[in-house]
Amino acid sequence: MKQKVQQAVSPIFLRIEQLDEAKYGFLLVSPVFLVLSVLAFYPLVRTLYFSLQDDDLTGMHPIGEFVGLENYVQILSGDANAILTSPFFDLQAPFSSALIVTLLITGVSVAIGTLMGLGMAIILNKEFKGRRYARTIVILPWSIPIVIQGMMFFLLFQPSLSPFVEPLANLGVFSDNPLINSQDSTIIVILIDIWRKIPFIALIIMAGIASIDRNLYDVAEVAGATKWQQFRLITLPQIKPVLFIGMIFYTISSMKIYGIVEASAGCSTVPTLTCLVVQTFRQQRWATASAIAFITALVIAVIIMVYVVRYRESTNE
Amino acid sequence: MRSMVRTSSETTSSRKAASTLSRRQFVASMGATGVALGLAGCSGTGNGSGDGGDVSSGGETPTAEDIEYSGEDVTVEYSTAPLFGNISDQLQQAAYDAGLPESIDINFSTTVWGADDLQDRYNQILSAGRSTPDFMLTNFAYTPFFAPRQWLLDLSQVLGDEKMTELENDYSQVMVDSMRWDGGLYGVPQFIDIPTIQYRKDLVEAAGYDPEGENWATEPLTWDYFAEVTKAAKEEAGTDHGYTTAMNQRNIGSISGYEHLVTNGGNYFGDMSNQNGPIGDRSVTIDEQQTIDTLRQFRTFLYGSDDEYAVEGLDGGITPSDALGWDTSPSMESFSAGEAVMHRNWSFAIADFGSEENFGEDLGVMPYPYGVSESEAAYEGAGGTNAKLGGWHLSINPNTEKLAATVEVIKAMTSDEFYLSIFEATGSTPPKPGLFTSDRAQEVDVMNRYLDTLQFQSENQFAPPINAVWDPQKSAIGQEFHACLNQQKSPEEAVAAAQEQVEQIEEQES
Repeated sequence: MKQKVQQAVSPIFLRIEQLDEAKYGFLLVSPVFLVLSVLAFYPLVRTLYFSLQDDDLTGMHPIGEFVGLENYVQILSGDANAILTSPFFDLQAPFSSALIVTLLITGVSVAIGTLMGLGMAIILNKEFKGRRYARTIVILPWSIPIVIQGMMFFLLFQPSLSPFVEPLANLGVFSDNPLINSQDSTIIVILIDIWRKIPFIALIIMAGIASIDRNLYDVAEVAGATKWQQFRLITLPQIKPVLFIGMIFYTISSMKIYGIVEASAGCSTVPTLTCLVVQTFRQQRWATASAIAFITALVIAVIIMVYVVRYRESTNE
Repeated sequence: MRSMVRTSSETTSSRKAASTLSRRQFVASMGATGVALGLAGCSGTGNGSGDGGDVSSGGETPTAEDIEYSGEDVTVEYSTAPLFGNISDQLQQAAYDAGLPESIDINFSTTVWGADDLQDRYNQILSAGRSTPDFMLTNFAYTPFFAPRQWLLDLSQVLGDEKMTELENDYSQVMVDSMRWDGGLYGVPQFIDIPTIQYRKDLVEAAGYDPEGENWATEPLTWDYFAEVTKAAKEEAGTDHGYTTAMNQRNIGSISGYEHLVTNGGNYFGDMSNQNGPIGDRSVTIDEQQTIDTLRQFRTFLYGSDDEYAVEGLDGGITPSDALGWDTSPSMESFSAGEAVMHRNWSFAIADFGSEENFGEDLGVMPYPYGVSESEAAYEGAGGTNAKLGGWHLSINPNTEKLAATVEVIKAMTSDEFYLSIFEATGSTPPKPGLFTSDRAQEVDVMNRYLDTLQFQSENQFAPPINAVWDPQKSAIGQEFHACLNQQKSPEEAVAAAQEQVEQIEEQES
């Protein structure tokens, strides 16, 4: 019996023995990659499948019959706005529209956060006394749980508790009760997102700066380049790859924003795309929720493509 | 003859030539395999056309054998609120005292709390067909989502005639009916939450009013008189606020605003008999004068007579605009700190506010005020004192593997003995109005001072719509009402917009 088994498997072992090192390595990791790809792709494919079905609110199963792209058409045309807790897209009420609010939060947060993170990275990369402690303090916002971050700002902008609300209202920056006002609350959510993401983007950029050859700066100094020229012609091009990667992660995270919204102003005041998915799913409209989730994923994919194209253009210049 | 032995250089070059698999190709091939397996997984679990797929059906009718408890040692899992989980030993003993066999152990499991979060959790458990928890604390808001899919067991099949008769005759009917769906009963009441106005008796007396003499406990005030008393007491005592309640977007359309509208004789869907439907074939009555008047009253309470839509002659400026951002818990803070005269809340708050550590006997409780009497109300079931139904039920997981034992536990937990035990321990009011007059209830500290008000209000409660379209409808109403109270829209604009959106939902979902 043992001999028969050996005879059966020996061609397979022989084949494996003949593989080169690279292929052998791939063979060893392929089971893990297979599991990971199924775990990554199965939910995506299942969500797409649900999004092509109808909602069934009264039947035995929340997922009804196949309706093709009808859910997408209803969401994008606004016909589904009536059944959603907030409109998906409504130019007449931009701060109530999930897509507009999410894109606004993402755009502003990524732009400001990246600039501030870049500045912070450059400063923290220099040698100064207490740099180690400064780096630790800077990372702290990133380490605080999301819900606590949201609650901190909720308390910070509560009129009855916070000393800042009245002065800010007198200056005309916010209204008397910013957390019930959609515009004010959106600004607050942007502030929270920037505050918690700066350490993340700064760390990524610092890693990029640390890998720059110091000799380049010496040569530039000898050649008479100013600090700004050194930054523009050496630092920025060298950190571009890590900067783009950091911005991609930042963008994806901001597009999926939910925890800090729910813990601060609430999804009814700042409706984001993920808020819409959660609320629609809770109403047992699984198909509609899946369609919104898939649209969110597509929007994120389009934005990433823009980054990739821009990056390729800049490296080809 | 060519050597049969390959040289090392020939071996290396042939290996290089053979090594054509790049990392990119490897990752791409793994990804494609993952997608293929994902598609295969989708087709394997079926489509959504009622075959159940990976969703529990649980539709089999239990037999007499299934519900006959044989006496074996068993532990049943009960998903419940932290309020009960924290006193699980006490409640376990109370169940035994109520007749539960001691061979049945109850495992109280508490995870998330809050109607929405708990619904999400049950969604996951029941749709996956899991067998535990065996029974759960549920809310009537879950009925239209869980009952049609038979994700909860129809209790009329297992409870027996005696219990069913008791439910018909001795319980708050609006509470029992809130868990009915298509002829079945999907939960039995565990406790009822009764909203009341809780107030500082000492402050209103200092302002010259006589709550005892005028029998505020069981004779509701009008909104005009309520506002007058609140303003006078606030000014006399120098408190920050007069009347506090939760008025955020979530509450204003479906709780505090809805109650106020009903006490003014209005309703969203005409007569109360239309609450649950037929969807698309019932009148939508949001844009009527009662709703406009309600919003104007709120504007007056918030901004006083300076507001352009203030009601003439109605005392105002008694509610802080902060309330527009409050949910239930934040709304309690001002009253708890002694900075408010009147506060609207569920009956659970009475045990806290009325304790000796807080206001003790200075806490008064009165039924909800009204604007229009029942006889003058535009719609049947509206008008007079009226408060929204609250409370929680016990429901059985249809996939439980311990049905007989679970039914025994349900019977024990819905006995008078158990209801009074949780009333003593937590202040959670029994869903059987007759128990308010029992000797044992009369001895429950703090709550016994307010039993007459609680009994009176429990007989004047209304259930919100219990159907699958109420969620988006109440969101639409809440959004428009909130915009009006935030002075972004006039009452007329707000009610017209709410009317239009609700009608659109009715039409779309009919």
